[in-house]
Amino acid sequence: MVIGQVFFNSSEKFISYFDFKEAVDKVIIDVHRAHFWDISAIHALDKVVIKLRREGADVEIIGLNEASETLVDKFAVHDKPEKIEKVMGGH
Amino acid sequence: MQSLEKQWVTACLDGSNLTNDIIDYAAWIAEKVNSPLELLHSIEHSLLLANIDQTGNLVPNMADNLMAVLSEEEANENKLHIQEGKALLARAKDRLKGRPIKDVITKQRHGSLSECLMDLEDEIRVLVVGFRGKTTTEDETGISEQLEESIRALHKPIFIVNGDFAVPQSLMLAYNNTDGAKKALDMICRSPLFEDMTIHCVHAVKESGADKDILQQAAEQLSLSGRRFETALLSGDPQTELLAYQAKHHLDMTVMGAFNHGKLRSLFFGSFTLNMLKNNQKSVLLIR
Repeated sequence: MVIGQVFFNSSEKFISYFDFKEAVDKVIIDVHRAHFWDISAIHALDKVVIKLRREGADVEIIGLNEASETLVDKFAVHDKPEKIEKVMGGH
Repeated sequence: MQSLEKQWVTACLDGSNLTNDIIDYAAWIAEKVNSPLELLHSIEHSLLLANIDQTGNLVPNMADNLMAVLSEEEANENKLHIQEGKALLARAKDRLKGRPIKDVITKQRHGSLSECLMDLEDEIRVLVVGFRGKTTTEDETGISEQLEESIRALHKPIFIVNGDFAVPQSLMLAYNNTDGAKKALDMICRSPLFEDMTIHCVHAVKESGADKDILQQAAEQLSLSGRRFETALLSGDPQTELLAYQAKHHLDMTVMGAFNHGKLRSLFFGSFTLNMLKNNQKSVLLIR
């Protein structure tokens, strides 16, 4: 569960809380107590989802509030395969 | 740092022929030293995608989709390895049902075995690993790079399984004046793992007559601990003499200090530890 404000100043910290080395087949990211404020936050969410999916996990995001969902719909690329390279190029 | 009894005996499983023996040795150690047991499977990414042939797949305007295609292939390959690993770990856990082990857990990690071990080092008490991994081919006679890297990465006792499981009744302690060997002697004197075994404390030197004091000190320490033991001083090439002694006395395993010299020295002069491992027919407990 993610709790708190995710924005340009906390997005790296948000990423660092995920253990990408643990091999799991399903990850549910519960963000109903979090708020994504800006593009940096959405970019961080993209990185987490794409990385986990590449490692073989099915990833589901639940509990996005309306404002965060608007940003995700507009800027997130994790469900737009053709744009993934722009986010994850070289990773 | 956790107390010893909270640290795990960690068994590294990869589906090789030695898998059941690794599980049995790890369970035996966990029972004897009263530690919980962790069954570990690592998914090495360098080995993934090796079987996917991309040659001849280039088509016009594919740049946009290439990353997505590769990502999807990687994800599918990883999913498959996670599922295979889960099945392997479930079978291993089943095998341990009814054994009087404190706790048994399974863990899967991404990355090479040595990376996984470095991440988990603090929680490991003893590592149990096979001499031959799943990717080791039958005609490979040496130590795999993966095993050597793992041994060098971890500064904990490492039990290297090299054959069918049988509760060891005797062991050869390859003893000399190094810190690793002293640590090994100390462990043998204190650990409940060795209380029922006959210990052969063997010192091999190139020139006869030297270093008798070293054996004498070891004998005193073994005597004080109440262990059943014998000592032997051999002269000649240490590796040849030690292995011949072990074969002659039908000793079930070897305990020795490992990598007392750096990688650079090993590059020029060869590593005594690796040579002992390579030529040993029995399981080996390495003390770092």
